[in-house]
Amino acid sequence: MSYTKELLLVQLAHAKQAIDRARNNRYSDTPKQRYQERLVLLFERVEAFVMANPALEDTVIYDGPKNHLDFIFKSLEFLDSSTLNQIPYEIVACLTHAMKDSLDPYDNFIIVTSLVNDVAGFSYDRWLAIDDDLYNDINTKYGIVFEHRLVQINLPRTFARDYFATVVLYHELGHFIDAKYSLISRAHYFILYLINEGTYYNDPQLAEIKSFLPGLTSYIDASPKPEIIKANSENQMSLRHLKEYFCDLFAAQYVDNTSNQLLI
Amino acid sequence: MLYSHSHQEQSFDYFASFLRNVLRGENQYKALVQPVIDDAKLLARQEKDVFKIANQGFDVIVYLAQKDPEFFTGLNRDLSEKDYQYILDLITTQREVISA
Repeated sequence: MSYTKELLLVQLAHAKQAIDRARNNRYSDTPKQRYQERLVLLFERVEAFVMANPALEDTVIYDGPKNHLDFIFKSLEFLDSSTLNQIPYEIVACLTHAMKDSLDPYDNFIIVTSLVNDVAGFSYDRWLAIDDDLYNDINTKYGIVFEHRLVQINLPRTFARDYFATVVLYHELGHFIDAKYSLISRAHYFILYLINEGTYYNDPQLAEIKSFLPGLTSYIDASPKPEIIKANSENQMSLRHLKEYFCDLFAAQYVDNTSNQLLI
Repeated sequence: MLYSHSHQEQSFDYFASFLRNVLRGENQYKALVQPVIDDAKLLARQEKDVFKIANQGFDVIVYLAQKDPEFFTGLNRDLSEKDYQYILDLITTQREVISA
């Protein structure tokens, strides 16, 4: 038996324990319950597949069962923190309200939270919410359809019940909306395309772009221009900068000056 | 074996995984790779722009169309095993692009 296969069996045993523990979870809504039922079904199918194929090649393991077990672990990590007793209702209700403005249909998405000990630990984990590839793969391989996606938001445990102090979460929600539609990736690509094509060279907008995106300066001034698809440090920096800028604007719709008041 | 550390890498890894499944004879995976290949073809032919191509696989579509526009422009609807292998090779080399 290969080392990778042995590790897979260990991971399978851990996943079984995690699934068994989660059977006691109680949620405030049926979508989460249904999601968990799908996870249990997926685990059973993965286990059956692994047991029926004793000589799996490493690439097959990584392309399939390992990936699917990682998905189960990641989902449970957030579901376990979103049970009836733990979920921060007020915060989730506010974020769901904001999400409705940008998503149609919005009810395929479930906001789940994971509480972290770092007081600045606000973040958004896109892994389960955006990629249809993962769900298409699961459906193709096992015939299991996940009707909902988890929008995973991390927030500090200290602020879990204080929805006035968590305005920064709207910025994190902005990352989800951006990623859902590839808004900034498209805009950024278009800007680079215009720069490479020379369209912007005599355009006053170029100076404005430089002022907003200083990370692009060396890209703009380079001769010849680097390939757009080459993810060099300059254009990755400007892409990230633009994404953060978008998320601040997105959050500003909802929080106005509240984030400043938080600092007082 | 490589792990995904970013969303961009994750998209490439899934697409590569689907292509490997096609090459192993799991034909049901053709339906998952075809929309990406179709959009790469349309982008290479300039029949679609970056604002029109699908969100799913966006990074992969842009990469493929830019990497070998000639190949995608001339691609037929019925892909051969050689075509899938060539596209997989293009995807495999993107590792150096992402980590550059």
